[in-house]
Amino acid sequence: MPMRPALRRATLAAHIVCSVGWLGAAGAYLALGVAAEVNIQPQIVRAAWIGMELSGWFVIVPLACLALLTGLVLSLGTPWGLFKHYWVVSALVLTTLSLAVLLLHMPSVTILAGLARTADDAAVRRLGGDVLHPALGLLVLIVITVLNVHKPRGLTPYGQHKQTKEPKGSTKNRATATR
Amino acid sequence: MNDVEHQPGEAGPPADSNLEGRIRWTAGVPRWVKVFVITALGLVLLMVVAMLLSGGRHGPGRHLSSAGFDAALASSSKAASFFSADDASALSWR
Repeated sequence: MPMRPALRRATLAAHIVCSVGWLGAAGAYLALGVAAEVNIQPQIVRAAWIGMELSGWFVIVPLACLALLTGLVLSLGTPWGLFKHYWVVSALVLTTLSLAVLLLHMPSVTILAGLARTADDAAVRRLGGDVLHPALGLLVLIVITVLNVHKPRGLTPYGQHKQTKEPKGSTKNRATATR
Repeated sequence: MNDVEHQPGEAGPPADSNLEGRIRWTAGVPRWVKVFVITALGLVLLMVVAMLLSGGRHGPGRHLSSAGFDAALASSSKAASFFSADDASALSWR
């Protein structure tokens, strides 16, 4: 169902804010993860794990959910569609996988942040950090961003099928699909 | 770049494109998708191998064993998180 231009622009703005915000928050999380990994001062390791727990649950998870939601709305509300173009399908798969890994990983962060709060200094020093997950996550988010900006061509079999059924006049709609 | 990139606002082949152009636009799976899928599968395989080589340990246990924690402490530490009942009120901003 095509969206009105004002609504589409508002959804696009929300999608960009959430997606880029997720990218930035993942970068900040990675900095905390590296700080916990390389530091031997227990105060810094403690603070880093508490920061990772808070930023994870209260910034990264909400932004990731909203990025997926606004992306779905935007795809379904514009001629791009959700399954018509390979780049949209790729972005959807990567975003869904990233969110799933994030939601599976965050309970571990909660456990480790709890330990960092309560354990003695010697144990906290050996706790280490969290580098691999945010680094891979950041890489995937950069790939998704490049896909969204570049929009490499290629119609899926479903997209080709829909296009052959598309009436000639509907090409006018394409001009409005400036996502 | 024109072989790969969409023109702004283009959700399909250009309306005035000839038959050859339309076929090129829609035919088969694009090369970038194949490269993308192969790279993704390679990375997943690499991660699985790395996990198996590290003894299959994944999750908080990897940190806990190196820090000398046991499982009971790990479960009790959950109560010290911000998501325990006591701390929930501390996190209500109002």
